[in-house]
Amino acid sequence: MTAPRFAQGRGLGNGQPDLWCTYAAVRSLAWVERLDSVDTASLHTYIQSRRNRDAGFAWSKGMPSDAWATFYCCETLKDLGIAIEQGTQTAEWLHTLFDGDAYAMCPGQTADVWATHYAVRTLVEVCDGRVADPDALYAWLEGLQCSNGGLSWSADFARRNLADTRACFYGVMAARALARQGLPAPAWDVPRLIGWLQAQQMDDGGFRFSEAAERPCLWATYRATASLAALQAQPLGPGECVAWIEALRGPSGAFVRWQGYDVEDVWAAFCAVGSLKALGEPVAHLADAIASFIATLALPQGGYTYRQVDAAADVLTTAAAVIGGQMTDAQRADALRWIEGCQMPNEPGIMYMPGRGAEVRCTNWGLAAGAFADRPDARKAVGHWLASLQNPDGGFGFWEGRGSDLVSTASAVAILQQLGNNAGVDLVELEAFVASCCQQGRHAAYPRGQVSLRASLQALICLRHVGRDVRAQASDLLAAHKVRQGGFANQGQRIPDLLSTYQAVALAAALGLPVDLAHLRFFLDKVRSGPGYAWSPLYLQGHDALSGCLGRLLQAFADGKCLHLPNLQLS
Amino acid sequence: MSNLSIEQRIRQALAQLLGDEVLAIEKQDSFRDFIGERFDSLMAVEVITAIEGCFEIEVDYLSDDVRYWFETLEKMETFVAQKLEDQLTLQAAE
Repeated sequence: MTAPRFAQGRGLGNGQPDLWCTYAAVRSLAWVERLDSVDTASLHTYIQSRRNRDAGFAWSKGMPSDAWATFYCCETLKDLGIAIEQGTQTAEWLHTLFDGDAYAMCPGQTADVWATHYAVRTLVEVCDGRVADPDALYAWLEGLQCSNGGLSWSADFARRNLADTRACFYGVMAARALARQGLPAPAWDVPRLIGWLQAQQMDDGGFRFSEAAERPCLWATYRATASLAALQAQPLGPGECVAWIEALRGPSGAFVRWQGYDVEDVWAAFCAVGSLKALGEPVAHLADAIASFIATLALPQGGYTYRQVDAAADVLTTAAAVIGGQMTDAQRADALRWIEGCQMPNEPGIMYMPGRGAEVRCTNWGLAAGAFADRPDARKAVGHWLASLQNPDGGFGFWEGRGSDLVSTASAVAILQQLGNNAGVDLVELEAFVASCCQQGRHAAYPRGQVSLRASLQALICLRHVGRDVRAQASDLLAAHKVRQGGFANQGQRIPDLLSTYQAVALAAALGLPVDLAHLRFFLDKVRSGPGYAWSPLYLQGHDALSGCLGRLLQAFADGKCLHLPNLQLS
Repeated sequence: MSNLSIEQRIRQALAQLLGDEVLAIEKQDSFRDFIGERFDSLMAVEVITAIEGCFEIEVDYLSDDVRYWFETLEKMETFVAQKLEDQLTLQAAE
């Protein structure tokens, strides 16, 4: 099997900066001491636009705060030498993520090692705060160690002996932050942890994520080498590792993700420079090339994307254009080929952008667009991948190791429906997760989250899939969130929005419940914005390819041109 | 009931949300321009909620054409005055 190349065909991008790319770009420039080349003011504006009133930060403007976005925003500001405004409030928000054992991505969710790393490092290293319950946190961290010596996503995954270099990195770096707070190291068997990490180095010098991976990549190499350095250790073959990294330099002098991949991107630059730093190697000779390459990724509004701006496509935008029927047959074929290329070497799911991990939600959109429609082997592999992602609580998270939520769980169900089989997913366990999110007949996205229309609709999609009759529940729910004048509201019945309206109408149509078309048309008239549709009637400037796709599908439904709306999950 | 004018009460309510610069904004200036990067649908909801709370009125997000009425201080003032007048008319009829 040859290593995947960069996605072929042609995708579409949204022309927007990406938070993870921005963090990686700024950190890389900090490592090579070229931060003087950035536009600090526009970066500051971009990062601040992600800040919410709860003092956390969101992945996209308007989304709820999460630990991941908060870490990347705070660390980027820190690298730029900008103090966090009201850091005490941010620390207070971070405390709301504690689930009694460790930290979750969002309040009410179950903890995982990704979120714990982000929350603990932000709390200790940026906000100068302290973890609230070290005893519980240490017990949880110590439970991450597998019998093979490596660390896993959670204690439940550790009992399955599923270690991963990323989980090791997040656990080890959380422990490093705790040490800075003056706390002792978790009682891990460190020699066995080091041994497991060293064993992930492959013959050619690079590291793999775990035993399940067939080939090395820079992402795993950075996580492994940085973890080893933090544990005062080194790879067994440091010279081979350095040579393997150097061989991944591309035409501009920046880096590609793995051998055989043909596009340099920001994450490869970040991981290569980070790995070399962890290995104690000089990086000054890379500074010119890295700074020049990263400058080509900058957007005028502030922030960075993953590759040259005019070619930085993503799966959601591309799938939305296909599903919304805005392409010629040739463009559609090119777009599907591009989506199908968005796979990591070891993950058959579809990524948001080429070179990052596969995501449940993006796989839902990619399959809905028609990806892999005539490739049974690829569809089977997607099913196996999906089943491997099911969490011990029965739900699914956004990607491997993430805590469960109903958006991802409903996305997983949508994938099963798209594949036409249950792919080994345990539906009894899945139903148990949905039940854990139920509060007095309505559902929240997480077991201890806030109930909403969309989470409740997602729960009903799941329950219907496992064979429950949900028509009566759906009727009650839709009536409770129908806005008098038009559309559906996620909270109460006052402020309608496009996504809630789409999901409400889609489920009503799927269940054969009546849809008030005059009510729907009135709402669509209020969100129509130029050639597209806005997410909210209150802000017509807020539109993109995804809102355009959902608006056009709803309009076609209202006009009687389509009777079925695709099962698409977003938030 | 406050002795302040509708305009002054709107300025006070929005200053708590957007900062004291609101106290000096021209009546015809666009709030969207004033708020700049922070303006989006969530901010629009917060502005409307602040006005609703200040005057104990209810805004219909679709039929009241909030994009028009909440664009400038002057328009907000007219909108609130109409709503208060409607309220008085309704109370008189009860």
